[in-house]
This record gives sequence, structure tokens and C-alpha cells, in this order.
Amino acid sequence: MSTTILQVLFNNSGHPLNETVLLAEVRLMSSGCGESQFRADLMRLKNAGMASVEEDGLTGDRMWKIEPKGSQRITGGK
Amino acid sequence: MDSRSDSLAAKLQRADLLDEYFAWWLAERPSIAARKEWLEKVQMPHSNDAIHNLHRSSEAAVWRNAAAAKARAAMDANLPKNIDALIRKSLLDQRFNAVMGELSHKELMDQFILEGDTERLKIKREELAVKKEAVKISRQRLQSEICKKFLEWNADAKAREIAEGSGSRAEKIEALGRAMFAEDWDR
Repeated sequence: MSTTILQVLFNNSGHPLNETVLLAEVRLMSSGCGESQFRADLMRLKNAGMASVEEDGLTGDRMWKIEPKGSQRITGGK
Repeated sequence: MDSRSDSLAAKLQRADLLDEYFAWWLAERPSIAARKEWLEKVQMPHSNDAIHNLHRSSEAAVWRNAAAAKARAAMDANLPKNIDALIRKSLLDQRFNAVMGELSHKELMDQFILEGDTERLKIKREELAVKKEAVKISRQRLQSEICKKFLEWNADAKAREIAEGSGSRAEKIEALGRAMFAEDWDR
């Protein structure tokens, strides 16, 4: 599921996605995605430096975006 | 990661019809049959599965992203210039996510309905198969009963006498019925 998460973030061309929308997009691309697995994979991607998260200044939503290392994994370094 | 070059998404993109298709889908929320009709009209007939895959493709995700980015840009153009940068960024991100979320939700609902329909169709097919089997068994049983009765009638002197005797076909059937089924014949 990590690759699907990265793919969704990559498709968003730099716009940060909140977790709810990110999960919906991941579920569209990969059915049968459980929420706990989704959150565990997000943390794995964050720890690997492929994705980052920050809180929205107004709403406090957790907003995710892809990091260059994650983009490289999707494009294969091209 | 684009879809395969022979996928419906790739074909629509090459024909410059991807945006038109999804704009139409969003406005109409058409049934699968209507989507197939739309694709036939543009000379791209495809199966239900291909349509299903189209809506799960990266190209569809990119289309949703472009629609959300457009809404974000429209909001950006309308926000006062002197608004605090943090508030501006937050409002624009919220707008982007609101549109993405709405589009994802519509797609998920569509898939949910479609999968429900597929499941119902599968159950109906199974029920039909069970009914067909029951009819087949019932017909085989009836044929077997007829053959058994024929053998019984053939061995029965009275039945043979009726069959070979004079009288119309209807009279013979009536007499044979009474001889073989007794009181059951009238029921």
C-alpha cells in the first residue's frame, strides 16, 4: 500500500492532502485498504523520508505531501 | 505511473477526450450502460471492467487533482491580496482538499453501488442456475415416470385392450387414464 500512497501524493503535484482525502484516494486505487494499515504505512513513509506531514495552521488537519525521495521511488529516478 | 498504453484511460487521453469524459461523468453521474453508450459514440467501445479500471486509474486521479487545483486557483484569484500568508495557504489547501474529497467521495460511492449491483447480479444468476437445474431434474423425473407408466400399461392386458380397441383418441386417453390412475385421474 506504501507505493499507492506515494503514487497518490505524487499525482497531487505538491498540493498537501489531508489524511481523510488521502485515504479515500488510496482506497480508490487499491480496494480493501484498512485504516490501521494505512496509518502504519504513512508512518513508515514518513520515517523513510519519502513523505512528510504538517499540521494546518488554522484547522489542525494533518496535511501530507511527497518528498523528493518518495518522488524518486515513483519515477524510478527519471 | 500511467496506465498501460492500451488502457481506456490512455486511449481517451490520446484522443483528448479524458477531460470531456470526466466532466460529463461529474455532471451526469451516468449509469455504466450510459457510459458504455458514450464510449461507443466516440468509437471506443469497452467492457464494464475497462470502465471500472478507468475510474481507478492514475489518469482519473490526475484529473481530480487538476479539477481541485483549478478550484484552488479560482479561490486564490478572489482572495484579498493583503490576507495573512498562513491563513491564505490554509484556505487554499482547504479548498483544494474539499474538491478532491468531494470527487473521491463520488467515485467511491459509484464503486460501492457498482460492486453492490455486481453482487446482486451474481446472486440473481446463481438463483437462475438453481431454478434451471430444478426444471431439468423435474423434466427428467417426468420423462422417467412416463416411460415407467408406458411399461406398466404395456404389461397390463386391459390397458392394451383399450389402446388397441375402437374409439376416438380422446376416448382412449380418458379410458386409459381411468384404468391406470383410478380415482387420481379426476383430481
